[in-house]
Order: sequence, then structure tokens, then C-alpha cells
Amino acid sequence: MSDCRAIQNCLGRYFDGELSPVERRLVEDHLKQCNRCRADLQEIREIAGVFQEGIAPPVPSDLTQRIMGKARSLANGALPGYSLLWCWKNWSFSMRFAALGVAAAACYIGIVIGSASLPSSRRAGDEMQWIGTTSRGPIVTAYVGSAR
Amino acid sequence: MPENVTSLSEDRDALLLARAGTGDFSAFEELVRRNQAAAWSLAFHYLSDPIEAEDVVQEAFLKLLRSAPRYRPIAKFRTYFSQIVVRLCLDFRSKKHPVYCDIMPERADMGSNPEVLLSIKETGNELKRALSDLPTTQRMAFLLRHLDGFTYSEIAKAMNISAKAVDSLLQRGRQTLRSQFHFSPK
Repeated sequence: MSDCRAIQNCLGRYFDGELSPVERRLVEDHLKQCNRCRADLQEIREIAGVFQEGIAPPVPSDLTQRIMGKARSLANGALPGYSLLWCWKNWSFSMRFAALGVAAAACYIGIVIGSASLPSSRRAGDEMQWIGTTSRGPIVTAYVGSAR
Repeated sequence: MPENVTSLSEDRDALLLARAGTGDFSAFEELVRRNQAAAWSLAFHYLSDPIEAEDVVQEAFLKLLRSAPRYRPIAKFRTYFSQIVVRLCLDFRSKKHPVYCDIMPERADMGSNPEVLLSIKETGNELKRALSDLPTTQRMAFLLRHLDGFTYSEIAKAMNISAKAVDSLLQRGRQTLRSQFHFSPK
């Protein structure tokens, strides 16, 4: 890495502080004795200086309000924590799987509770009895209380 | 939990983003205030247009809000957010086309402030000339390096390329600029 071509390939990384300590020392040793490479390094500095002098115009004074306004619009129906659709879109696969599990468990519990409360009119000893036929043929059956 | 994750989770911006992901609007607003200037500067210098830059910055923060519930502090917030801004800038430039609409969108009232207008006009004409000479990816690499002070590794993450590719972009960019600029002999 002692010839100019090799050094010049490293000058950008040298200026940017991206060389290892060993490489850095080799470049510095070379720069001490090479006017041409020192001039190239100076050009790199000047280019960087042009970028650093560039000042962006001030941030528009109402930019924050605009962003927050759009964010609130987005949140009307899509705020994290408030919208089911938002959550579903943003949840990971495992979270979706867990949510489906919870939903399935809730459905199962609902069915069990519902089926336990439905046959309140049915008592022990009730029997399924034939009560007639329809014009289409099927037999209509119903639970008939044994007390009746 | 790995040590770097623990340390990164202490990052104020990362914490704010995590809170925003749970629906905390005040946290999101603080996040916007803390990061809008850097996003604005990058977008403005890349696009050279305050209106386009504002569009990009707004969209970047909305994307950030949408992704907030999925954010995990495994990378620096700065790199994470830069990825969003960089992608939007590059896409904006490559897909630039007229947008037809019935109602004029609301814009920042920059025209009423002569100081702002003057500032925009005078904002590094030399810099604008330099940037216009560079292809888009070289321009973005230069801005991240020299405006934001990113390392090669951070630029690589933000642009989704390798560190070697970053070196190549910067090296080719410097060659282009050195041939365009006429430096006085030292």
C-alpha cells in the first residue's frame, strides 16, 4: 500500500475514518512524503466542506401540526391499540395465532354456556315423542315433558 | 436479552416509538419534534424541493407510526428511521409523476416568509450544483455521510446495500465531483 494508486484508493476511507489503525498509519506515512496524495486529500476535504456548508431551510413551522393531523386522521379507525384491523395488520404471525386461539376459546366457552342454558324447559325424564308428519314426509319430533 | 439490545432499548427515541405503538400520541409527537429536522434536511437536500421534501417527511412519519407496533430495538432508531426516509426519497425520485387531484392540498405557507424563501434560494448553490452532478444513489450516500455523519455501516443499513458498495458509491462520487469542481492548486 505504499504506491500512490493504492493510497488514493484509500484516501476517502481515510478521511471518513473507516480505515483500521494499521492502514491509517500506512496512509499517514505516505502522506508525509507525497505532495500529490496530500493535494488529493485536500480536495476530498473541500468536497466534504461543500456538503457541510449546505444548510437546509428551516423546518416549516407547522410541519409537526401537519404530521400530527394526518396521524390523528390515520388513527380514526386505525390507531394502534384502538382498531382491531390495525392490530391485525401490524401483529406478528405468533400474535395473530394467539389471538385466533383466544377467539376460538371464547367461542367454545360461549357454546358450552349457551347449550347448558338452552334446555331449561327440558327436565330429566323428558322423551322424544312422535307428534305428527308433514306433507313432505319427515317426522316432526319434540321433547315432551313427562309431567304433561 | 443481549447487551446491545438492552442498551439500545434505553434510547429515548426507541422508547417513544414503542409507546407510540401502544397508541400514545404524546410520545409520537415528541418523536416527530425530535427527528423532523434531520429528516427534513436529508429530504430537502436530496430532492431540492421544499414541497416534495415535506411530502416525504410526512409520509416517513406516518410509515413510522404504522410500523410502531412491530418495532423492536435491535437497531439504532436513527438507522431504522433513515431507512424509511431514504427509501421514500429514492422511490419519490424514481417514480416521480404528476398527481391529479380535485382539491389543492394544503401546504406549508413558505411563500409568506421572505427570510425562508431567501434561505431556500441561497441554500448552497454550490451544493446543489454538486448534488445535481451525482447519480441518485451516490447523492444519497454523500448526504448520509456528510450531512448526517453516518458511518459506512450505517449508510449500508439505511440504503440496504453492503458497506463495500457504500465505499464504491462514495469513491465514484468523489471522482465525479473532483472532475466537476475546479480546485485551486494548493
